[in-house]
Formats: sequence, C-alpha cells, structure tokens
Amino acid sequence: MKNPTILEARGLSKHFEVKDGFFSRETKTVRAVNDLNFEISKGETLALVGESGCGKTTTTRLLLRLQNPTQGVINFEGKDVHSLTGADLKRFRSRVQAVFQDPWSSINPRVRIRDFVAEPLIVNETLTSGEVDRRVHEALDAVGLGPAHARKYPHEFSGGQRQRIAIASAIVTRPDLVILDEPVSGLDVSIRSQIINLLKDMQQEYGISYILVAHDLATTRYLADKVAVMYLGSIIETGDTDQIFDHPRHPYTEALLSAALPSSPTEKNREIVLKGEIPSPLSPPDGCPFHPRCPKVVGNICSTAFPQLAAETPQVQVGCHIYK
Amino acid sequence: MNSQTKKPLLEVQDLKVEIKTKVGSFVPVNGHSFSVHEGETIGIVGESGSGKSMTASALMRLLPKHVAKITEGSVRLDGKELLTLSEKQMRKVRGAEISMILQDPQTSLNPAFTVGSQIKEALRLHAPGPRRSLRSRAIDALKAVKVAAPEQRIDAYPGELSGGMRQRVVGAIAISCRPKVIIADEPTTSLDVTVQAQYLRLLRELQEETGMAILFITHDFGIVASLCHRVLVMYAGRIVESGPVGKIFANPAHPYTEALIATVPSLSGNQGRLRTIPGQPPSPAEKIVGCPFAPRCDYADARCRSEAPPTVLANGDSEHTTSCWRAVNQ
Ligand SMILES: Nc1ncnc2c1ncn2[C@@H]1O[C@H](COP(=O)(O)OP(=O)(O)OP(=O)(O)O)[C@@H](O)[C@H]1O
Ligand SMILES: Nc1ncnc2c1ncn2[C@@H]1O[C@H](COP(=O)(O)OP(=O)(O)OP(=O)(O)O)[C@@H](O)[C@H]1O
Ligand code: SF4
Ligand SMILES: [Mg+2]
Ligand SMILES: [Mg+2]
Repeated sequence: MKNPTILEARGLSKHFEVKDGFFSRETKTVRAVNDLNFEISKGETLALVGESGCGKTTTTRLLLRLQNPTQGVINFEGKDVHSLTGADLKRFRSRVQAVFQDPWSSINPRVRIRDFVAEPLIVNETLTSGEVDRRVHEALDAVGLGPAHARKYPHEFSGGQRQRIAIASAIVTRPDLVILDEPVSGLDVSIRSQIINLLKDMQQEYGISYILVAHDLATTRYLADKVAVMYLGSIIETGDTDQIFDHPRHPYTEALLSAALPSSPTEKNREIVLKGEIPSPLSPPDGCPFHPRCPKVVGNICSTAFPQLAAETPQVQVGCHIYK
Repeated sequence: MNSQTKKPLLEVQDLKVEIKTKVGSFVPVNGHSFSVHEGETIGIVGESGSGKSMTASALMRLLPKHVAKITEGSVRLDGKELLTLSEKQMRKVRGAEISMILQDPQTSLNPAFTVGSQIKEALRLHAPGPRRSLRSRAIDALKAVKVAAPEQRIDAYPGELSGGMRQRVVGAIAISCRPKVIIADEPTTSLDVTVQAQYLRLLRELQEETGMAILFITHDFGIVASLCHRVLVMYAGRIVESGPVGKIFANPAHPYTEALIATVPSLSGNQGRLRTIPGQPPSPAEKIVGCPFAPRCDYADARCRSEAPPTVLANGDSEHTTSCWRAVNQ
C-alpha cells in the first residue's frame, strides 16, 4: 500500500551565472542542480545528503519558490508549484513550511518570538488573536520552550534555542510538508533527540511529509524513509534508507558513510579518505562527476560517459558504471 | 598529551559573566577555571543555553555591549592578563594571538563585501606583508580550507556560497594569522562528514605545526572523541565535569555527562524512540538552590536539592574533576 504522492520534481535544474574573476566581464555558469527527479509521498521523509556545496539548499529553495528553476517542474498535489496563483498559491504557502539552515538569518531581530512563530498563521489563516496565542503556545510547548518565552526577542536566546523557535514557527500551521535544512545541527544531543522524536510524533499523528537536509548521518538514518545522495548537483544514489546505509553501492556513498566519526575514543576510525579536491561546479568534470576522486574507477567510460541512475534493487537506484 | 610538561597558553580563573536584561539579571558563566596548554585541544560540550558561547565571547572580550559584562576573574594568554587591557590593546591581540570562529557564519561575514576582501582585511590587520601578495595569500587561505575553485570564489559574495563554504571561509579568516589560541564555536555544524573530517585534519595539522591551543565548542561527541584531549562539560553556567577524553567516555563522573553520552544516537537502524534527558534545564532567571541538575537527576537526594555540590576529584584522579555530591561521598 503506497500513500499518495504529495510532491514530485521532474528534470529539475538550476544554473547560476557568476562573474569570472573580479576584472572580467565574462560570466561562468555554476551548475548547482542538474536534472533531479524525486518524489515524496504523504507521511514520508526524504533526506538529501551529500558534500557541502552539492546543491541541497538550492534544491529546497526551488521547492519553496524562492528561486526559479532553469529547467524542470515541481508538482505539489499535482499542480506546478511555479505557476500557482491566487487561492492555490495561498494554500501552498500555508501547507508547505520550512526550517532554514541558518536560524539567525530567518529571524527578524526586532520581532518578538510570539509574532515570529505566529507569522505563517497570520499570513495564511484568519484566526482571532486568542486563537493565535493558543496555537503559538502549543507550538512553543511542542519544541520544549515554555510559553513564557513568547514575549522575548531573538537575541535573548542561544543558538540552539533559536533553532527550536524556527521549528515552532514551521509547525504552527500544521502543514503537510516541512522542509528541514539542518534542523538539529546546532543542538545538544539531548535536545536533538527530543526534536527528532517530536518530528516523528508529528509525522505519525498528522501525516506530515518531510524533506530533510542533514549532515548528521545518525539523524538521517533515524528520520528518513528514503535518501537521495547528491554529488556536484546530481543524485548519484537514491532509495530506501536502510538498504543504502547497510549496503552503500556508489563509491561516493561508501566514502560518505565511512567518514561518520566514531562515537567513542576507543572505536576505530574506518574513514575512506578521498583523494583530491572537491571539484568546482564552475567546471564540473566530464563523465561521472565523481571520477577524479573515485577509488574504484572501472575504465575510460568513467571519464567520458555520465552514468545515469538505474535500478539496482527494486528500492535502490545507483548512477555508477560499476553496476552496468 | 601530557599537560604537565607543556606550557599553559590560556589560563582562566574564576571567570564570571553577568547578563542584565529588563526582566532581571543572571550569571551565564559562573566561576569557570581551566587552562589550555600548548598543542592541546579542549572540547566544551553541554546543554544548549548552558553558556558555551558566552564563555567564548568573554575570553575574546566580545560580549554583547550593555547587556553582558565580566564581573570577576582572570584570563591570561601566554602569561598576559587580557581582562585589564584597553580596548585598543585588545584589538591588537584579537585575531593575531587569540582568534575565534563564530557559531554563526552568517553574522561573522559581511554580506556586502566579497569573501576575498574580508580575508585580505584580516591579513592586513594582523599579518601585514607586501600588498601585492595579499590576494594570493587570501587564495591560499581558501585553498587551505578546501574551498573548490578558490581563484573564482575569492570574488564571490557570501550569499553566493553554500552554508558549508561560508563556514569554511570563516575558518580561513580565523586561522590565516596563525594565532596561539583558537576558539572554535561549532565550526563544523553545516559541513558534511567528509568535509568535516578534512577540516578536523587540517586543524590538527596546523596544531602540530604551530603548537596552537584549540578550544572547541561542539555538540558532537564524535568530534570530541576524535579531536580533543580533554573535555569540559557545562550545565546551567557551570563546569560540572572536566577531564581527559578517554576517562570521561569510559567513566563519566557527573550524572549529566552520563545521561548526555547515553543519548547519543547510533548509526544503526531500528532504534525505537531516541533517549532523551527528561525535564528542562533551569531557565536563566530561576534561582538555583542546590545542584542545578538535581531536578533531572536519577540519583538526586535531599542534600542535592538543598546544597550546591563542591568541585572535587573524581575517583581520586588529579586530572578528573566533577561537581557532584556522589563524588564527595565516594
Ligand atoms: N544577548 C543576550 N541577551 C540576553 N541573554 C542572552 C544573550 N545571549 C545569550 N543569552 C542567554 O545566555 C545563556 C547562555 O547562552 P549561550 O549562547 O552562551 O549558550 P550556548 O551554551 O552557547 O548554547 P548553544 O549550544 O545553544 O549555542 C542562554 O540562557 C541565553 O538565552
Ligand atoms: N546565488 C548564487 N549565486 C551563485 N552561485 C550560487 C548561488 N547560490 C548557490 N550557489 C552555488 O551553488 C552550489 C550549491 O549550493 P548549495 O547552497 O545548494 O549547497 P548545499 O548542498 O546546500 O551545501 P552546504 O551543505 O554547504 O549547505 C554551490 O557551489 C554554491 O556556491
Ligand atoms: S549533585 Fe546530586 S543531583 Fe547533582 S548531579 Fe550529583 S547526584 Fe545528581
Ligand atoms: Mg546548504
Ligand atoms: Mg552557542
């Protein structure tokens, strides 16, 4: 039994034009995101993982209509997100919420916490002030901050507390889809676990779907039903989380999972250290984007042909010439 | 690391910071004493809001003005008292001898200037040299933190970089002048694990080369385990446990440390619900009677709730201290 698809991306690309050097008038193209295809069902969590700069935040910004794709479409409940207008757009804005990578930058310093948390409610719904207060208190309570904090200003909170405020604001409309860009990275392990439990509870109770960007592999494994591993703007392996964590197939996925730090000083480090520099999306290599650093290159084909994603098991797709 | 034979680069004694707000005042840093030796890395862990960033800002004398101030204590950098320096003298020390990587790369980079001009500014202030070479030194600094295409990225504005790249730029600025002590406030939270591993290797290499001391604030026990020599555990503005990493992992002496280590989620699947520490830390305005952890502690008794525990040796070990009545009773 499969839940209905709530969001899907088809052939999604985003390229940025940047100046080539300070004195130059020529521009170069940053291929931040290339031809992504994925979907999320109701009540499901999809995690985007991968090296810094591989295009995760850009992808979430496209989903949220904060940037326009260079190519491709995103459908939410069957409708193209980037051509929504009127009531459909309003509905999208209230049903899809986000917690950004950088909680500081998304919180206006002059706005009281109550008003920050309430903003998505006030913009998208018509409630009395008393109802808004109740919903804000509920949301603050849910993230482990008492209602007493509602009257304070952002600067009065520590980094981790601000992150929880951002989560409270994202859940206050009881949305269908929440995009979480590093939602727990600045939190101590105990609060991190609290928030992760909370996200899971809300998912079970309300059927919320999540798109998660998290560098912490333990968090990813715990929360995500599916993962998409990205490298230089492309998805190079995707599918069922447990299958990929237990048996990574793409050499980059293997290296990534091996780099998880041991959880105690007595544990052995198993890191596969990658050679070379992270390539630049300004001049991505031909063939497989990973080939200049890949310890398992199978031949010329790796530097000449782009390996398309292909099913390795019914639940896992891999883009690597080893598997052809 | 044998801390007895190396010289202490940073010595902190009874450091106290007070915050005054409209609702009242509280003490987010309550009598910290510790030292960091040449070539040593100390990890600071602890609950969100326990005062880790405040401690870091106090050491740099960069506390938020009009709100927070140092009320007591001494901070000596390579023998020199920092707390009595004038602001002008302190500006010379900052960045050159002691430098900080802020928790929030967003606030430490100016969005209106290219990353190159910000790195060059730091180099100009603290490590002057021929003007012509500033650009190439700035590119080297970006290379050192593994930013791809540094020749192009040097002209990028912070908004054109990914979160992890911004974080590495901030790191590049902090280490560009080779300070004696570096305070890193969660510098790797938005780095993926492979880049994080690279970044940590870089810090370690730089430390071996220059003997700098590192104070590393983190929530990640993996980092503590693989990078740090000693750990300070903070709770509600106090250092509740300190000691060598191996001993703290093997034999945590404070119930908070024990609970914290037990909540670290594992990488294996099928874990059921994650463990947490029940309850909340005291709110800053709350008057704390007894041990601040008592309301959440499995071992708390009547004395824990009424009298503050002293700081004592754990298991009679001179390198390992804790503030817990159970250690006193042993
Ligand atoms: N400018 C400020 N004004 C008032 N209170 C503040 C200010 N900055 C921090 N605080 C408070 O001081 C206490 C310590 O904050 P600090 O930022 O040092 O915590 P932290 O240990 O770094 O937490 P985190 O792990 O979440 O970053 C917190 O209770 C916080 O709410
Ligand atoms: N506005 C922009 N102009 C030019 N280049 C950009 C812009 N925004 C992002 N980029 C580039 O696009 C690429 C992908 O960036 P993105 O922020 O999506 O990475 P990320 O996967 O979120 O990385 P991180 O894990 O470090 O946050 C990077 O090379 C970045 O420099
Ligand atoms: S002093 Fe008592 S309450 Fe505090 S940590 Fe120790 S046992 Fe627990
Ligand atoms: Mg990002
Ligand atoms: Mg902090």
